[in-house]
Amino acid sequence: MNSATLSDLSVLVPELILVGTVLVLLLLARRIQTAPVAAVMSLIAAVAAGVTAGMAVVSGPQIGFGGMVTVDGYSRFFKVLIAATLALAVLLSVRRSNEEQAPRAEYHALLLLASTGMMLAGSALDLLVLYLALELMTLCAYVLVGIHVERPWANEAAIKYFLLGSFASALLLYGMSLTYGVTGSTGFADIAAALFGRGLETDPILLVAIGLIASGLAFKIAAVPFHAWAPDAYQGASAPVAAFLAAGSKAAGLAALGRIGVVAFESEAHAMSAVLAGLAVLSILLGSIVALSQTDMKRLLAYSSIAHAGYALLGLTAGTPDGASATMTYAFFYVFMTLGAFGVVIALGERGESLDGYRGLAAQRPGMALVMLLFLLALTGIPPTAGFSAKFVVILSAVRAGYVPLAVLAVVCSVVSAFIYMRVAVLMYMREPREAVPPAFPVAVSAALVVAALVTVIGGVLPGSLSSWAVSP
Amino acid sequence: MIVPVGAVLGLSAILFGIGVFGFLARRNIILMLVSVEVMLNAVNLSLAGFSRHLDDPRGQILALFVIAVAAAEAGIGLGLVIALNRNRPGAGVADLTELKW
Repeated sequence: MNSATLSDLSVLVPELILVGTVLVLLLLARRIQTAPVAAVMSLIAAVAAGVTAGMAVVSGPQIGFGGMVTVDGYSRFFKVLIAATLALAVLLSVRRSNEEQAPRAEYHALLLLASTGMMLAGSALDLLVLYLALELMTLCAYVLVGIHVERPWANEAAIKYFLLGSFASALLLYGMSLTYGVTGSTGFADIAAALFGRGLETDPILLVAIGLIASGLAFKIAAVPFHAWAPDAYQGASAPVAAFLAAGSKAAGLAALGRIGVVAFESEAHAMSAVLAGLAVLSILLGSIVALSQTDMKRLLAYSSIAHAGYALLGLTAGTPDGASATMTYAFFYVFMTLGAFGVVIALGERGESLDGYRGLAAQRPGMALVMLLFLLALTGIPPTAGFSAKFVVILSAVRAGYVPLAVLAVVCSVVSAFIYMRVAVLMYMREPREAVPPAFPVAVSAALVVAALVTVIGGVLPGSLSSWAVSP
Repeated sequence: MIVPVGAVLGLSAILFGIGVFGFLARRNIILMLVSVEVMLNAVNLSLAGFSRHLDDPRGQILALFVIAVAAAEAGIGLGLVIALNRNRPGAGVADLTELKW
């Protein structure tokens, strides 16, 4: 095999930009611990990575490193999405000067490295690269959750996340190993070719392998029954980290599931969709119901993210390219809705963490309450927000695939979930404030909120704006 | 003597099962971490077995990567346990009750 050439490296330009910035950050770590330089550098790196990823592929898909990674429309979509997630997460991490800080250089370096892993997960064409990408993402995420080492609840959240995460990656790996044993290959295209040649009879070992791989990836997107880490990790982590995980980890997991389901296990689509449909039903039901009883805002958003993982999976259960592109649309809009909702939580500081803090917000800060209302409407799925167009495409693709009961359940649970989100809206608009007016928040946080709100509105008004971008693998 | 591939895979499945059981039954963070390592080693064994059976080096390469990543994972896990211990001595999962429902 020949060594890597320049054209191989050109496939990974966005990732190289992020890793290069990480190296610079770590070299300068001791000098920039107190200055906002780290945030500026990360923001520039995120924008640069997003732009280079978005400009790639003008002439068909490219393959690098002997078929291990690719740049195609699918990976471009997820790279741009993850670069946007990273940029917004960096903006949301800018704190007021009187708040205690995590070590800034390391914090941003970990954010960038986790994003590198997420980007690679979207472009991996081989089980080995996919495993490394997901591990890069989760290993950084464990540390990010526990980065405030002096807080016992952050330690606890990080350990719970770590234990369940390493268990899930062991399951994923065993599934990969069995797939390798059955098909004799680790490349997605070769796996598909080997399975296609076998005809219709399905190897029981292969079914186990599909189940294990789907479980391992379901953990990354926090689908039930692999969701237990999400509420604890989101509550224990600082709010910007929780926002980054809710958005980025979900996008990366869906990217990996989409590519594996549509490319590698194409001829086993029925088995894959049965597993994914089960995960979707459980996630939608449990996420919507348990969220009703939450009093902590970050936990509420965690259960909401579990329910949304279920909705996003509806597209993939179809097992068709159309379904995959519905899931991509959902992932895209969900990222901005959830980052926006977390953004308001961050802007309110301590007060935003509990549900009671939202009492009378509309009287005190009408602008902030209005933005929160927009994201709550979007998370519920009410037109004309992006949440509606996102839910519409995934439910439509579930109906087209013949999963009508699943689609009905999704619609019913979406009505139930309206109660969860509207409870916050009622607190904001119809209750008297009990706490003092919250202080103004940093410009960076407002900038992130404006971007998220714009995407949420535009996605609702022009639902087709993404259709030429969301190309399935 | 050449060990048949079926025996290798059976052993790896048993080892993986022991790891899963240990993870679910143990209530000490360090022992849960050890159980995950047992699961990863079961994976490595099956990868090496498949690789030998298929006469293809990729499985063994994958196993080497798994060993490296497992080392990083153990490093992070132990680091988190130490951070927890500084704030609150004891390494039982039963003590982790600050975050619930």
